[in-house]
Amino acid sequence: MMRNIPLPYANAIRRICLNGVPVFAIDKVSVRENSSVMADEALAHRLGLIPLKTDLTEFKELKSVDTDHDTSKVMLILDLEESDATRTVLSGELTSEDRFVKPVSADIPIVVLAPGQKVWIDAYARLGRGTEHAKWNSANIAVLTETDEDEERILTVESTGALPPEQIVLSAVEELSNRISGFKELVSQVA
Amino acid sequence: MRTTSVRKLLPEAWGFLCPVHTPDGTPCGLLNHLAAACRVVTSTPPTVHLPKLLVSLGMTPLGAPTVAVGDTGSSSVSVLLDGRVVGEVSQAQAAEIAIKLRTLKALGKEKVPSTLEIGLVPVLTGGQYPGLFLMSGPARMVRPVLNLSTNTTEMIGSFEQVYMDIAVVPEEAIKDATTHMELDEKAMLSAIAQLTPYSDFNQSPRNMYQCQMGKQTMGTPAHSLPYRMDHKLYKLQTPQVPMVRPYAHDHLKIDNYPHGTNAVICVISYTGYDMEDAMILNKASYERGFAHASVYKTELIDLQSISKDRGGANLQFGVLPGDNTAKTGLEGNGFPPIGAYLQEGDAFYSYVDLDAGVSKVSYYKSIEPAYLEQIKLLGDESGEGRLQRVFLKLRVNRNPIIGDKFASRHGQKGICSQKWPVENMPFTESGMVPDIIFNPHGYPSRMTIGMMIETMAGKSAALHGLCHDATPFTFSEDNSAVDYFGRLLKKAGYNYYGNERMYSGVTGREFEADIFFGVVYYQRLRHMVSDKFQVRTTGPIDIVTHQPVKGRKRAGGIRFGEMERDSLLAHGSSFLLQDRLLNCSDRSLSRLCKKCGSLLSPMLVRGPSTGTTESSSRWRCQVCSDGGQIEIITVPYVFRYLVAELAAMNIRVELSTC
Repeated sequence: MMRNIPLPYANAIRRICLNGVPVFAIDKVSVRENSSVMADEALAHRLGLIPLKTDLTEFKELKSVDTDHDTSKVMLILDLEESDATRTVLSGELTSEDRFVKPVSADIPIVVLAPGQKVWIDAYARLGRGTEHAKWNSANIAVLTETDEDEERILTVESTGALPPEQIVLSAVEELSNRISGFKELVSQVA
Repeated sequence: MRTTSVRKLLPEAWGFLCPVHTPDGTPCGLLNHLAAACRVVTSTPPTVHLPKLLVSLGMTPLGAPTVAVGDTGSSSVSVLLDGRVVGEVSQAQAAEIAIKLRTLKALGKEKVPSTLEIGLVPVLTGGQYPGLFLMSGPARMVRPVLNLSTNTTEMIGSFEQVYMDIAVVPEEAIKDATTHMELDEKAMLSAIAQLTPYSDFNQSPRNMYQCQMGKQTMGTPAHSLPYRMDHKLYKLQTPQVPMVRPYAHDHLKIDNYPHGTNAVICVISYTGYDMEDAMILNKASYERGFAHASVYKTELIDLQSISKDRGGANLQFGVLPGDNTAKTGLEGNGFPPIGAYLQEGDAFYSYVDLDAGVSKVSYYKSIEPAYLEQIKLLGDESGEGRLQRVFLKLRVNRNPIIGDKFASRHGQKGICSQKWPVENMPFTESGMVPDIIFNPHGYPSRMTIGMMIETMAGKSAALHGLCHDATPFTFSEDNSAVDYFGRLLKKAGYNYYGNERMYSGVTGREFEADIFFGVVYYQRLRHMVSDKFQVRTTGPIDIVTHQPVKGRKRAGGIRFGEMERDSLLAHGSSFLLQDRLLNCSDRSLSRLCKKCGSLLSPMLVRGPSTGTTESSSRWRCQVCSDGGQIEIITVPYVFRYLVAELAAMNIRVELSTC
């Protein structure tokens, strides 16, 4: 609940909750083997959409895509052997090299493999923002509703599971203040 | 053909041809589609026993002695079987025989063919020639109706239908007159027309448009994709089964071939980007896979035809040991690996000329990148021939972009005009954000109430976890669809009419009006900008006229025609006129003899060969004795061509210089 916060500020926080807080998502994928019915790019797309638990203290956002930091990306491996029965590959079968950054749920279906089909993929997750792609949206839902009282609003945030909702809101406020101070600096340079 | 009478749906066509499934415009009513239940007779059932049966029913066989009976009032009529006169019968008896025969046919007794047409033409002034016409042969259309006397399904033909009394619903049956009833109210519709949900709520032309558009959807064309090599095939990568579906959808098992997505739509005029049949797509929905699709293209590579062009060379797919495969990315067999991403200019395939001992690489030519999906090796009938032909199947990504066409199932098409980020989309109190923003101005003039009902039905289906029946003619005035779905919405805690309080995503402010919000099954249509855009700055020109060529494939221009010219003239914008029609077209410099006004006479004449200097040669008019007066002028190149053509016809063109 927000009291005495002007609507533009409140809405800015809501918008940043959606797209301004960095979270982990699979971004680059090396398909070593894929004999499933799903095309490589479709499989990569599905992997990208799996929400990953994010730790913002240990990892830093990539400043430019070209630079390679160990502190900014995490490798996940999906290596599945052929099986005798048709089966659904779940997100729990992704093995992460980091103990914290891993799928939010182990039960997200990725692809159905028929007997004799095989998938072997190296996936690299990095921190990103929702402005770039929806897979980096920190919150699925961020709603600002009005109450009967004057200047009182309720901000409801539903997380993807990557970050707890409280942290999304806190990071969003921080992000907003960073942006404003960045703007302040910019104006002072011009003036 | 300007006449309208041939286009009408006449009584004999009712139930056989679909009244909805016909194009609008020139071919309207001429290009028809069969009703879903209509069948065409293809077999010839045995009929030798029928004359005997008819005699037993009371027919006088042909050639039998005429027995004088008391009643002379009614004259007799002929009985014809497949165009052959088999006997005579009195008028009263004819009706009786027809009824008896029809009962036998409906019950399948006495080996009366089930597709036999029993056309009883009564004596009417101005009517058809009376008689009892029986038809059993093939190439007739038949359709099932319910025979009320036997309570069985009977196949009836278009000739007999006109003389039968068929009710559509039990309420309209007339006592002692109605003999048959339609199986279903929707039986008149074609298979495609039956797939339109709530079509009885829509304005009829909208249902016709949907019949056209239903055939243009990207969907699931086949399940045997690895075994098919179609030239071009459109496939939706993330299809869904509709939550709101008419009977035919289940009956025809369309769930096996889904052709759309249950989209959350919001009926609001939001930013102006949804004007005039445009619609705004939610960028996050798109990024999560909304309406993602591919085009599968197959190319046939035939070494034999290449060999013919190269004088019968001995060719074989592959590369030579010295070839730089690291650079081309080709494998030893001469093809890229399966799954390779091909861009314009990448190596596509390679073959070796065995006689010359050289290899040649062919390159991928399309500007649209593609993935190599499959390579199929083609042999000959014996299976022993050399490998000379292959199919290369390519997968082109066609995820929605601005300019792609979408449509609901109610003839409501729209073009994606913008992909709006989620944070800018309007949101409801519960946090729902639409996939598609639909402009409310699309409703009043088109009157697609069916789409509104579908919006409510889709919403309640999603809320209650149901699939709703959308078969036409199931709701009525007493049992209205709005009330049914309104109650369901209310039960789920939503507004009865499907409206919701919403907030602007840009400002966070609440909208003054409540917004109609729900779920509609949207189809992606195969008309995409990627196939249609045409753009040119400079490019190829015609060799004869030096004007830009036409045609999208040849990187040509779009014609700036007479009407466009008139428009510029009317505006007095002569600079632009000259720019379009001369400077950007076939502007050229030409020499003209000012004295005689000829474009053709100036010639370069070499002076006496005194030296190697250029100055010794000069331009002279070949006509004027004094060498004329040569000037350089700007003319359209076609004009020079015209002058040359006219000269060939012995017509001189003189330019007056003033």
